[in-house]
Amino acid sequence: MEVFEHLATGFMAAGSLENLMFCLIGTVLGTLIGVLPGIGPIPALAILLPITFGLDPLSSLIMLAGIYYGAQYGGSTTSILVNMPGEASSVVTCIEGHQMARKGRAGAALAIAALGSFFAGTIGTVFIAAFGPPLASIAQQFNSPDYFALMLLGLVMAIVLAHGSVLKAVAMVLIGLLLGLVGTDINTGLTRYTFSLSGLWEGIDFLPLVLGLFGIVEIIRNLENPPPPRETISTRMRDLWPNKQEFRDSIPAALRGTGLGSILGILPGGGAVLASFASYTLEKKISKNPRKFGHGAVEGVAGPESANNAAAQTSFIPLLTLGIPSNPIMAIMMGAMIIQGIQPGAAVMTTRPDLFWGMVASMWIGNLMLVVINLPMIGIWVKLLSVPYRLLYPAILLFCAIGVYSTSTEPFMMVLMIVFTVFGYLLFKLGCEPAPMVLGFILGPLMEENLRRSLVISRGDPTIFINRPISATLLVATVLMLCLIIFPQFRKTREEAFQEE
Amino acid sequence: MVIKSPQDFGAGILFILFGAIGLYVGSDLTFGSARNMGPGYFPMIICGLIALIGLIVTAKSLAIEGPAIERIQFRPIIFILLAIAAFGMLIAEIGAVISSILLILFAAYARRDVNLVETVVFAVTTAAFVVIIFVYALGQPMPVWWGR
Amino acid sequence: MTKWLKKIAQATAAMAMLAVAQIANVTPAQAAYPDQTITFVCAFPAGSGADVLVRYFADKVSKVAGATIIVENKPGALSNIAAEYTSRSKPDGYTIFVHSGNSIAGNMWIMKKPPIDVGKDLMTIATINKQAFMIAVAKDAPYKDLKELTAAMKTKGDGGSYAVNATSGKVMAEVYKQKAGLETVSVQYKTAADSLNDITSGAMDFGSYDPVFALSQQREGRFRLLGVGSPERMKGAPDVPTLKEQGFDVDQLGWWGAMVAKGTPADITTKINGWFNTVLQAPETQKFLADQGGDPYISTPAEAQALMIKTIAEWKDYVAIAQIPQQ
Repeated sequence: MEVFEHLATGFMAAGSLENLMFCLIGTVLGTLIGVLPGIGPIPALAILLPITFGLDPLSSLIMLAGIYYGAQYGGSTTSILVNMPGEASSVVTCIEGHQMARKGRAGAALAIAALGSFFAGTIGTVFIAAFGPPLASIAQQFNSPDYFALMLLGLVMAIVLAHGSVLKAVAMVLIGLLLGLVGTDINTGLTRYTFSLSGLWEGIDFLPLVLGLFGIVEIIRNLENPPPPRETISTRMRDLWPNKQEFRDSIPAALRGTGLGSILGILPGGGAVLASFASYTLEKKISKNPRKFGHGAVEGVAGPESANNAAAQTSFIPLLTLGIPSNPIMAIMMGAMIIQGIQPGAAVMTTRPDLFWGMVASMWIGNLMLVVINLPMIGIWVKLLSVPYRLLYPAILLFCAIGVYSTSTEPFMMVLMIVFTVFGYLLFKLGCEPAPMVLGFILGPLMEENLRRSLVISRGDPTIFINRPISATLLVATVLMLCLIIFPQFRKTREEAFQEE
Repeated sequence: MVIKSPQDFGAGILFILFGAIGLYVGSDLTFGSARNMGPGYFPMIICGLIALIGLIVTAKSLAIEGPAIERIQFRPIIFILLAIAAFGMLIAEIGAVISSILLILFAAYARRDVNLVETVVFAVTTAAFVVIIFVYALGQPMPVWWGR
Repeated sequence: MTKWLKKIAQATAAMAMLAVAQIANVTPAQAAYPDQTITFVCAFPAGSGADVLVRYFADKVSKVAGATIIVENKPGALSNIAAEYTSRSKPDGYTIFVHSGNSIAGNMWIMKKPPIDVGKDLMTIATINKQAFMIAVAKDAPYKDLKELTAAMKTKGDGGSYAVNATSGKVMAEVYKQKAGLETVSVQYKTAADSLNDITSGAMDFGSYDPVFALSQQREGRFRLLGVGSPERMKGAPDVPTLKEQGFDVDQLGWWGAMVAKGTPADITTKINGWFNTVLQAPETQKFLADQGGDPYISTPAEAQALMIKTIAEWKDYVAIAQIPQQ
């Protein structure tokens, strides 16, 4: 039972009073900054990074990890309360979480998100401790063709995110893909679809896109059709807390989400983002009552939130065991480690076991603190909704603008945000849902890159996708998924068409 | 020709436009071959597909009944966009305080019946909060006032 | 309600005080430099690897200078937004662009109409580090040195492939290929990490990597480093032979520096140069740079500017050799 020995070392290191304090400061700061609309984990980490320069290595990493989890959870809070995702994975939380909030179940959604995250965090920690190195070797088996197949599977799953017409959802994914390709083509160095605007050379920025499409359009929608005045919001524990039925629906969803998230989180690239989308897809597909989805299905919060957090944990595996940052957040963590004079990689485990296991242990401690801090705060967050909307929305808008401004001080970013607000507004009026588009936007460039590269490697031979077991398996899964989506939908639209006649 | 589903009709047209513009703008990109795909290969296929789906959605909208397009209200969207534009253009010139106040004032007028006094007080308070948090506590690169 | 109003009144008062304090801050015009916040301009998004380097120096320089330094991220347009912004700032030493000299020099040739003349509109006043790209193969690859790799690639012809990501690495591999007379096919990756699996699985025969990645993967036991593109061996990686000593005439030294708007007074540039040099002499910084495979690069403002001019000239050829299309 080596694992327990290791974990014990870790808890000894991370459990010192000082480190506990930094963990607490990190999670609290992260939550507070993450809650501001428009500021996701990446800007939060970048903003707070210098604070940790003066600490010793373990404390600084513990604090940064705390900031990361805090910001991520804070982002979910904003997603649920005001439909304002700060990063790609919260887009999914918005879909069901915000619908729950609109129905007066904001407290329940927040509680489920917190508990689901904690549960996933616990499993994720055990996962890293027990299977870190072997799991990392799985990620190492993924070559370009396999990534292409994985992205394809992800895009097919994106279609399920929409609850309207499949055809429109497919078109939205494709539009997302196209938007993702704007900028410099990495193979040739030529720019594409930049309309001679130098601000687009490095692609469309994610933050103005997602804030425009979701957050600001949501404000405009609310102004056009003011939601019915909510009855005085009750902050009694009974109403904040999920009811029995909600718990019963959430637990299996959280379990499945944790599983998906733990595995997808290891894969570099889109892995962690795919996790929450994949979990949503899974929940919607196996639900006995898929019509609930899009109208505040609690499984649609529990699953993706758990997946998201589990993936957040396991995405540390490639960094800690291979020295490879699998996403921008891990790149910041890697930067922080380098500043502290530590080269991330498998060597850390042997040369500085206290550091490695201390960090693993601190992940669990961080998640525990998060749930302890946030459960009592749910009442406060929900109360925030009782601030009159006429004051709430200008403030939200201001935070969006500042969030965008602090990642890049270019006025062009505001122009982008305006463009995507108008576009999102049009889409809303035309009954198209933007969530699939976001996934297309993120996966599009990765997909093209891996497709082109695979074919260069195979010198134009497409069988490269079938000859590799991993990509072949993923492609079969993609086809199965497509069948699952298309057939019931045909049946349903036909039924609906007949009913209308 | 009767449009039975205005929403889908609009969406279909939007897709067709998107695909067509994409095809037009991307037409000068090298297409390449499967062995060595040019920068135009992938986008062209995607644009073609978008336009194709647009055609199908439009055609269906003529045959199958669907929801109408909600009336567009100009006041909210115009004031919200103005608010963002003003902030984006002015913050580097006149600083975070005044541009924040302006953003809130513009945004407030996205509704009718604005209580001016309340809005101004709220705007000033929020601007102070923003400066304290973002500039002083978090050290974000934004000027507080004009000049510099 | 009265409680609310009271709070608001307090906040407004605080705000007014802040305003007064600010204005008071601005008035003494002729105080010694630095008397206000200095901005480090970073051409990469917040949180990226290069951003970490800029923030490291912001932190250290601010301690030496005794002034607050904030990092302003102005990513985009191949770093030109940041460069142009710096060139248009007041030449008062409060706006300092910390960036890769090669990247900005290369832009002079990669762009059809460069918005600024890097050699004239900006003054390079300090250098920070030197680093060079490296040729790496998988640890279990059959090639023990560059000679064996070259021989094997000659037999493979265009059946061999190699991985590149950053522009400088692309250029170095291209020059090596020319000198060695190879036809190996270049495969582009977005980041170095993306190509790791293809290298270890043997799909790529070799790769051209930045020293941070190459050295960390060597430590992890996945890479063997066959050569470095600098004219002399790097202090941070003395075991890696240069391409030059192995008979391939490649001389490509990358460097980072600090730039300000033209017309900044000499006393200020000397001061800034001094801060950077003090930071570079600290053992902590030397270790920080060595971990990334770079050596500290100490120079005077005049030397830094001369280096920039030289780099711009060199890149004209590089851009042509690597067939980088103009924007």
